[in-house]
Amino acid sequence: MLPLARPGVIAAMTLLFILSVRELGSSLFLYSSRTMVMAVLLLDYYNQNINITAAFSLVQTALLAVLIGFAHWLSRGAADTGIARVR
Amino acid sequence: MATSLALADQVRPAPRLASFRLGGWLWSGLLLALLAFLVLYPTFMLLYGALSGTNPVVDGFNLSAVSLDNFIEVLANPNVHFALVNTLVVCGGGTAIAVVIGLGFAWIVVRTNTPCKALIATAGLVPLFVPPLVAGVAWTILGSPRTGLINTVLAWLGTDWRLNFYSMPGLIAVFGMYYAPYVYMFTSAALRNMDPSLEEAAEISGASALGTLRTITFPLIAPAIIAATLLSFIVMLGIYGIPAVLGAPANISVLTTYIFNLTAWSPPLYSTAAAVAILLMIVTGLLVVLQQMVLSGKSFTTVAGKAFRPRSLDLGRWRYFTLALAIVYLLVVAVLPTLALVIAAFRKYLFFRGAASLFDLKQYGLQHFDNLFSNPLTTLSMVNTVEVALITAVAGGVLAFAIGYTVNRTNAPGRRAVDLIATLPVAIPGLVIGVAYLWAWIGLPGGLYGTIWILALAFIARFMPDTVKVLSTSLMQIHRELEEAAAGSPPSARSCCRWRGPA
Repeated sequence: MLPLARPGVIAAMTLLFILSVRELGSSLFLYSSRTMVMAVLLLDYYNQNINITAAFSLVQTALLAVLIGFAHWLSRGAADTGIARVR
Repeated sequence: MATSLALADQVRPAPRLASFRLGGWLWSGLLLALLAFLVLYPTFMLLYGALSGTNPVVDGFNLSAVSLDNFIEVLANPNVHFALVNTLVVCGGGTAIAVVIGLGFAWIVVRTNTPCKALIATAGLVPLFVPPLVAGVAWTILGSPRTGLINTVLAWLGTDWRLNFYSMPGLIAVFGMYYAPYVYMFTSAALRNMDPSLEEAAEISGASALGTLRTITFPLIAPAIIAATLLSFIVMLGIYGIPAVLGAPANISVLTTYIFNLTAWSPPLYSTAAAVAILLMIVTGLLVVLQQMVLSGKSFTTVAGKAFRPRSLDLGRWRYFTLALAIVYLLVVAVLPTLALVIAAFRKYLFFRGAASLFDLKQYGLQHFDNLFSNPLTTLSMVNTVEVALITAVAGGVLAFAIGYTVNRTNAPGRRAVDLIATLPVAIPGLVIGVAYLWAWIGLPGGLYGTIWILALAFIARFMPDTVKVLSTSLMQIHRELEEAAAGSPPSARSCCRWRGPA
């Protein structure tokens, strides 16, 4: 069972990983200065300097692209169903 | 949430394994306790927060303070009405645009002979990969009324015409563009699975091409269109990034930005935020129920079943027009925003003396990246993000596997309740989960609030329906016989973890 279910588990875990990297709404109320996350910091930068915000947006997008590519390689197609659900 | 709503009522496999009564109860009890901790307790605390009118940090908890007064006061507040109306207008307008774009894409890809269909199919999904906040930032650089790149170019061209994305139409346009893929995914699947003989019958009986489209095609995929419409509306309701960035300069508040602003004031109005969050949750919940009713209706009978070969309409020369439409969409939704981010990130100042200065390489450099990484918070936030995401992925994945397996593959008692509670967060937008977790943990000693773990727990709860859905789909594809063969007869639940045959 576990070996057969592995593609599904990997798809679910990569989906969770990518969704967590992007998540902003719930983090807004739960972060502290020690547990700052990227999405919240991006919003902070936006209120200060648009150029740095753009630079950080590119860093974040590049990181997500690498992650999606890695997930695709890891599950070789099994994660397609998962990634298509990313919002 | 997303597409997981689509096929929520798939048929469960009939035979069940694992019929240990006591062990079953213990196992279900454990799962239910975990779900109560992750989903029910925070929701209960959110309700308490909305009704108590207290501040959890200062006042602690006091059940005697609970009354409906606070909630009624919030509902009567004109600012809340303003935010609610804005939300409905922005999401309604955005959904209308998303349906037009998404349906158009679905029809072009599935039903026409437009060239480069693979490119178009990909273009239709691109916005899914862009985080809403990043999309919002890119569109402020492009569309801000005075310094926006689009307006700079319009000025060079000598026109007086200006675009202002810090406005209701701007918000609606960005929402519509970026949430069209949801409609596209739903409706293209429905179009693909439709029986073409019905359309052929209409044409043989003398109906025109347009008449067939109107009287046969659209009515047949209407349930998919309605479900997709509701889905994109539901997703837009919970988005914070786009209205925070584009709406704030024009003082357009929607429910999500209004909730956050309540907690950003000093002193923070946590209980008012909880009450507005409940309002947002009720609106979302009603739409989710409506969507489930549409999807479980019998209208899908002609759209299911055997695989059909969709008819492809010969557009003649117009096929280049449909290709051009797709390319324009790709330009507007991906190429332009990326270009704007690249220019802003590498250019010293976002000010252009003339068209030539755009290509003046001396204006470009890495100084913004230097500034970005000279702030220790930047690397800290990246490390934290990866750490939270890893915890969420591993813990959430294991929990979702346990839930998916229990619900789909065992006859454990209480599995219906497990399924129901694990699906509840579908109706809770991310921001509302945030407020609920704040209420659940900020007043408690022990210090979970302010750690990485509270973020991970909130994410696990928030994404549980999606994860369980993905896992259940893959679990249902595995033949039960393989599992049973592993154990011989009678089958035992433990074999699920032991069997390692060539698959």
